[in-house]
Amino acid sequence: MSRVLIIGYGNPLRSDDGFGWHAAEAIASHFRDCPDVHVMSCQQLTPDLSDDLSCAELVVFIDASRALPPGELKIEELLDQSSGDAPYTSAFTHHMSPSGLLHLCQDLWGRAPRAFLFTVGASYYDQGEKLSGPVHRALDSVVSRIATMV
Amino acid sequence: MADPATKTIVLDPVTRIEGHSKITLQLDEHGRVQDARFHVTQFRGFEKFCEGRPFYEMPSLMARICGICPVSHLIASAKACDQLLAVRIPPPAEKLRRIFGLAQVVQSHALSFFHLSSPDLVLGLDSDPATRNIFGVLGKHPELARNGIELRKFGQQIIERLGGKRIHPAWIVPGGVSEPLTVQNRDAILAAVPAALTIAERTLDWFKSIREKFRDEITTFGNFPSLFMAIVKKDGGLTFYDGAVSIVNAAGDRVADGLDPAKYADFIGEKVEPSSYLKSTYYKPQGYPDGIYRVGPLARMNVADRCGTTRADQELAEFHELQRTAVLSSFHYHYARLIEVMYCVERMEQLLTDPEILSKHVRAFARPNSFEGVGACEAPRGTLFHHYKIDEQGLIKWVNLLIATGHNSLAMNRSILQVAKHFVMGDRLTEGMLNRVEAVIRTYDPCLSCSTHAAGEMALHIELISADGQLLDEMKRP
Repeated sequence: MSRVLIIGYGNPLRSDDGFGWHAAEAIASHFRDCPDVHVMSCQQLTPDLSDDLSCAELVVFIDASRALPPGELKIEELLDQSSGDAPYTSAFTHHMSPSGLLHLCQDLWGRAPRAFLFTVGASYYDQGEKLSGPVHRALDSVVSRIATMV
Repeated sequence: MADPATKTIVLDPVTRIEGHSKITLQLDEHGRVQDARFHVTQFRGFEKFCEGRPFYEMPSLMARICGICPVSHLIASAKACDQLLAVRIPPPAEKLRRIFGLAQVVQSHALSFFHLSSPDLVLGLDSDPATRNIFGVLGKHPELARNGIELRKFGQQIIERLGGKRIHPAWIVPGGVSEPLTVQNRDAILAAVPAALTIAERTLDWFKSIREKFRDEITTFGNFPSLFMAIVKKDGGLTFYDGAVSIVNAAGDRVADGLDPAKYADFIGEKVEPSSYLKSTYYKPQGYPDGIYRVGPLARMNVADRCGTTRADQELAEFHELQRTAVLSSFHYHYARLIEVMYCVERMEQLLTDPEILSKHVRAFARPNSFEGVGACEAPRGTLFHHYKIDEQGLIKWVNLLIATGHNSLAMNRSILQVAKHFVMGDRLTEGMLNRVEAVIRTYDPCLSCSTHAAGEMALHIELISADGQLLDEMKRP
């Protein structure tokens, strides 16, 4: 398994919600000759991914958010997965948060990687596979920040 | 018109199943359960909106019916399209399709058993609903939780390796598959087989060790005489890909054998109930509703004489010893499901070590040569039929789909009725009763073609309503 795992997630058929997929594609292209970096995309975070997480040293989640202005990038480190109550008591197995998944990883496999969440503000969620202008423009920034981090 | 003396209990939604549904329990004037209904409340419409589309789009469109078992729809659809092309697909392509289907059965059964049903088995049906989920299992039996995730991942990774992605892969096409198997992917899958076999074996041992704790449930969870239907090989062996339809009765005797799946309409009737979007099917010679039958793991284990792999055959022999007749209790769907996981892993290993599996000849090309095609296979939850008619231009004119959950519709109603009669007392709603009514539905692992799955308790709203519409009792989960 690769040292770095990058997971873009969202619904690729809902325009800006598919930002994680577009970012994953761009990042995979950037790191195509680098076996140390594994890039994947998925619609939602599921418990199954905890196994992939447990084998990585660094994980980067990429998602879209309504909470930020369109195109704005927020980067946060997801800290301290080994303490506190597990936040994955959600009723849904197919809709885990990055933190919940990291907690699950810690509980199931005894370790969790260092992790960051990249969130980009999105506004257009109609059916479609293209990103709106401001959100599309955030792609380069995400790729370059992750390239620096890795 | 409803009898004014009766009352109705509604369970809406039912949790930890694939899809959205509700259950109503009809009480008589004495507060005893009189009737039970499982309602599928979501509407899909695939049979209708495919009309006018080119036939070759059908596998990809049909895969969208479900995020859990897209591969079964791909296989049945591609087989129907093979008939439209009137081609015999290359043998390596057929073997690759088989592996694809087996991998999906593993991941689907793992989801059903470990994620959806193991909370009931590990934590007990009367445990706190807030923690009765896969994460509760993690706390009490972490190895089982880990094994569930590992086994599901094993199946999904095979699908991803063959089809390019875990969900809605488009690798299976009319005439075969789009790409041959690489040596690298074959070796990677084979390398993961021993661990998957160990999990299957360990889980079977664990399940058999706890089974007796559920004596009450074994007795009351859909434990009634019915027919059982499955596609099996000519020699009576278990298969998920191709064969003839066989039906056994409650005594375990074959009442029909060697039925051509393409002629399903000769022996299967379809009934539309006003209370549900789910069609109810029945065995035509016995009429509706007497022709009630069950499909899926329990039915396959009852119908098949052998699995054809070493360890699964040992388990099947043990399974057949449960009853001298057919095994009737739907609780044993769990057991049957685990035996099938064992079979699937063993069978994949057999297929992957076949030298022909790396052949580059994996697709036959042709134009449409027939106006009608039927594709059938065994999906994780039971027998699946896709039936298409096309016009001169190859555009779809008509579609009919018979899906496992529809086959099991009558049996699920009867199972709910049996459980409710045993556990529902008067007009009082208790958590234990609700859990058992839901749990019996989960034994069938009904797939209501969805993308939403609940690991624990979703908002559950139950109403007890009198015949005149008055709300007598109400129960909500946050």
